[in-house]
Amino acid sequence: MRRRRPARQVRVLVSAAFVFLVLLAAVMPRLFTARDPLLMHPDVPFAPPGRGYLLGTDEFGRDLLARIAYGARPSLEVAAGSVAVAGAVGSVIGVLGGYGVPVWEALAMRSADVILCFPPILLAMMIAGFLGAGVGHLILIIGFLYIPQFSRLAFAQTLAVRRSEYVEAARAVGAPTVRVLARAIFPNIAGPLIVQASLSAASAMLLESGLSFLGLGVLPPAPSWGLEIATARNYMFQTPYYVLWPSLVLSATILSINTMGDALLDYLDPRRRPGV
Amino acid sequence: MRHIAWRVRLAGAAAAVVAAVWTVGGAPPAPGAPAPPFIFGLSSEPPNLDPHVSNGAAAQTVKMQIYRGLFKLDERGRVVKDLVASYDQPNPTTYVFHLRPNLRFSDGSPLTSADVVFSLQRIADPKTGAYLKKRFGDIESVDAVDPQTVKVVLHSPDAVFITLLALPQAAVVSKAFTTAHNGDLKTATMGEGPYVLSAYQRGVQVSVTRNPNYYGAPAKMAEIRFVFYPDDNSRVAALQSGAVDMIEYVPWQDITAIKTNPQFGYQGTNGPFMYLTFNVTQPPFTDARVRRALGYAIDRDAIIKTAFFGRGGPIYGLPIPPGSLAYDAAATRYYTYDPGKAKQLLAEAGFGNGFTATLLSTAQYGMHKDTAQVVQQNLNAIGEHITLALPDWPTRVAAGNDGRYQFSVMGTVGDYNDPDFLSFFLHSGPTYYADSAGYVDQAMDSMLDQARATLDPAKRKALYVQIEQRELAEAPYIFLTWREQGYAYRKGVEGFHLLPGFQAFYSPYEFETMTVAR
Amino acid sequence: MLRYAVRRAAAALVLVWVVATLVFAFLRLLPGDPVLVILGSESGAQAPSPDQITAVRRALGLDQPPAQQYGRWLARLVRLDLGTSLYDSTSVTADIAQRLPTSLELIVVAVALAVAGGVVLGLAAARCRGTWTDAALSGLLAGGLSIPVFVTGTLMVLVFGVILRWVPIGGFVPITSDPGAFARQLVLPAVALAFGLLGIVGRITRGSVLEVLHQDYVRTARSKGLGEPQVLARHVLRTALIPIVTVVGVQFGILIGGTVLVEYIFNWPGISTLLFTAIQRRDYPTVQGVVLVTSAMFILINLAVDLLYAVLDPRIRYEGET
Repeated sequence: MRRRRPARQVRVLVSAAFVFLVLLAAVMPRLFTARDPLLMHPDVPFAPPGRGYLLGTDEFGRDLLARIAYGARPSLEVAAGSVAVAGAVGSVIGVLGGYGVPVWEALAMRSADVILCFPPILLAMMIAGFLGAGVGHLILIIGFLYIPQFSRLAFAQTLAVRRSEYVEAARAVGAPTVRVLARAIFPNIAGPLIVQASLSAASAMLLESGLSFLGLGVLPPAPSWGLEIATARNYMFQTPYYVLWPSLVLSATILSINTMGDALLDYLDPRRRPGV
Repeated sequence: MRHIAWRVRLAGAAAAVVAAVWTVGGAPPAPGAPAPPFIFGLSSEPPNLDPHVSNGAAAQTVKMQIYRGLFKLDERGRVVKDLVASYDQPNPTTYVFHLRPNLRFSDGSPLTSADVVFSLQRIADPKTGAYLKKRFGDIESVDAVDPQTVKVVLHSPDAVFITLLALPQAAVVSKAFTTAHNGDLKTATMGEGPYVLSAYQRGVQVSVTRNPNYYGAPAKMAEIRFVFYPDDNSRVAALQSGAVDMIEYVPWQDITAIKTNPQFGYQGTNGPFMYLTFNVTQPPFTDARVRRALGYAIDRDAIIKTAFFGRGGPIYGLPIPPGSLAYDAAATRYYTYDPGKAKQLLAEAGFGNGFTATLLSTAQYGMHKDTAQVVQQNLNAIGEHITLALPDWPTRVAAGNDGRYQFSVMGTVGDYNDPDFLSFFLHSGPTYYADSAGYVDQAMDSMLDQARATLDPAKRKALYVQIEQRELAEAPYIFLTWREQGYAYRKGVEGFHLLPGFQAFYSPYEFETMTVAR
Repeated sequence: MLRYAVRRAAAALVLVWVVATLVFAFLRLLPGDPVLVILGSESGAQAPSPDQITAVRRALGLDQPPAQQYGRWLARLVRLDLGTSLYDSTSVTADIAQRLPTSLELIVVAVALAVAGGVVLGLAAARCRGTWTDAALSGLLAGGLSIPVFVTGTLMVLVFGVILRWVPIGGFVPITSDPGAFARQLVLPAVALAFGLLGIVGRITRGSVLEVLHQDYVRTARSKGLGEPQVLARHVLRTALIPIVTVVGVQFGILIGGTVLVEYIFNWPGISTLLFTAIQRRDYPTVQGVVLVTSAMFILINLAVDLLYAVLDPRIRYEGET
């Protein structure tokens, strides 16, 4: 018998629905608007919402609704891609290191240290300088920068879980290391890792907007939420709603991802289920 | 929505002024207490204070208070004598300058012709990295005839030589002081201007106080504090809240609000301008028709509306300010916004199906980035395939200097209103990021050289008209728009007059005669 | 324990050297030439002549082969001399010494605010799990880490600086000259910086505490009859602190290098803006110096964190010894 309050279920459903909408916008933006996000209407810059432009226009007279709808894809791509890279690589390093596999332990902690010493801007500038900016490069940069978040957490969690009964039982049975890792350790540390993944996805979106703010992220004229916020900030005093729309959408998306991450956490963790 | 924000800000500014007056102006100043400093909001921190090096208008604003040269500009932008009392020109290539008597540096040491000679030599020395090195390379000899007299001989006559000496980058520095510092004037200063460096707080502000050894009337304001506000919004907010008395580089989106606000004064002018450079050695821009087509294809009004909030003006020919010697009314209407004509020209050149090219600009400066976006839009709308390359500034500069681009967006301002400034663009020389790569036109070169060497204004004007016609036909550049640049100050700041045209950035020459009523 | 600490310290030193060397190499590979930046400005109409470029390059020592430049830099480093800025010939050490404390003041206050607030809110949310309170608190925390810091920062400048005039804008006052004014101007940027961090800490706290609340040793404590506050304090928080400490440790390091946005918006003359401007200008010595110093600091903090692990969770300490 689940002890969940209805409020909780509603929240999760709403979040899931919103994330689905955003995914839809990323894949098929035409469902949301017929307008071209790149088309300028120089006669109506900063048009207020209404009057043919549902959310208003930006400094070039481009339709804001279109900019936001089309902006979903790069933001999601960067967030998902970088978290996938960081999560996969970081978790492996961390688990192997925490379990005590020689070399990996040092690699786990030291590589995290080295990466974290690099100011994100410096790394971003270097890679963007060579390869040019763009979604793919952002995924590499942010993914690389986030590896420590996963490796350190996996390391610490693996350490904590190493001596627990599940693991001891598996080892006593003589299971090979890989199996112990996969069956006994990983599921027990997956919880915090998933929370971390949702946090990292959120913060990857924030970092992308920060990098776009500095001119190192997704480049104009392509829209991305981060870039929209960065640009809109310059015009906050004239047109406050210009910065509101992408901020709201970005925040709502992140919030939804976090909520779903929470629900996933509850579902995956056998000890968290009440009654067990 | 815009009105609400407007009124909020007005209320806020009014409240700020009331609050400021309440707290600051409530009690009468104690007798003998020093007057509060004049606070100026700079748009960036000066990288260094070497007067011969050019590193931005913000740095120049500060240097101009500390250093002076043989000539300067008055409030109408005319060249007037500064350290020089009088001069003769016995023949077109020889100048004899007589310095004022009893000139001193701020530490009291005398300023003599030896210092003038030293300064000109320092500018000519490649190690200095002086802005005017190339131009003063025309100098054949400089002699200190006696402690008050300097004789300069040029290779060929130069109609702008005196104007160059009025630029802040031609300041006179102390031979003794500079030599004692191994030629390094980046942080140590010894000037002869109305002010003296008094305090420098890295990352925050730099202060100057009245120079007691200044030859002219003592500066009216005892102290100026230049506070660094690199963020546009913060700089404007600082003005509105009363934290500063005056700012430079008013962001375009704020100009209208400040102009209509009775609490503040604003003076601005169209000075700097945006333009396109081309790498003329590579297709598609080897063909002048393609370049001219761009002149018709680009909606300059759209650029002004979007990138500059309407604060600017279109350039349908060359960026010659009205009132200039070379101003030719017909040349200012050479282009119009005519996409049909652009397509026609392109078809003639063989690009009826459009061409593919990358437009180089930078993401680091909003005005460059925005202009590039509009240009891309306009060209893609008539069937071209333009992609943008927007690296950071040093990368963009490196690419431009190496000629690794097809066409690019640039912005600049002329150094002086004299039409000779056109030679920066049109004269051939080493590849430079602000110029079109690979553009060599010997007929143009000789016309420019001749126009510079001619001292008769009528003859010069005729030459410049020819030069303009040739530029418009060949189109090594397409000039796009003026952008407005201005200063904003709170009411009570008196005596500020904006210099016209390109010389707006030299307006800080006037700080010594400005006052602030409190 | 001591052997553990000494080993880690030695490793830390090596690490600092590795990072510094990598940065040196990467900077040289970056496109863009500092000499061109120095000789030009955003609107420079006059081209520098080629001999000027060569002369300036030689004067700055940039014409030597990279290996030689590296050697000279290392030699200086041993004497604790970080070199001089390419741009304005000031001592890099002096620049850092001036700017670093300013950033640290901001960061320390922000972290304190964020950790205190985050732990409190996260704990409360975990205790009230499933209720509306939890929903509200979690929403607040999520909001904190959802909104970009430069948006909140600018909004704060607008509301508290321009409209309400509760706090001054720009015109930095050092703590030594006027502590009162300094504190007032610290409020806005510290809160803006703390906001995002508070969300992260809060969520980690909540997740961690929830994890631990059901662990064996907690159930044991409860069955022993210990009161709720004691259970929480002694057992739950103590172990939950590990991931919190990890996150704060990680975030602290990121903060040191990454407060560019806050410092930019609030005109806070700290180390991030020094670094950012130096990168923009390709001012190699300054970038190398700043990265060296900040990475050394970060590694030191890591060291402290690791030792803290060992103190907090005895299980780890003994494993560290083998």
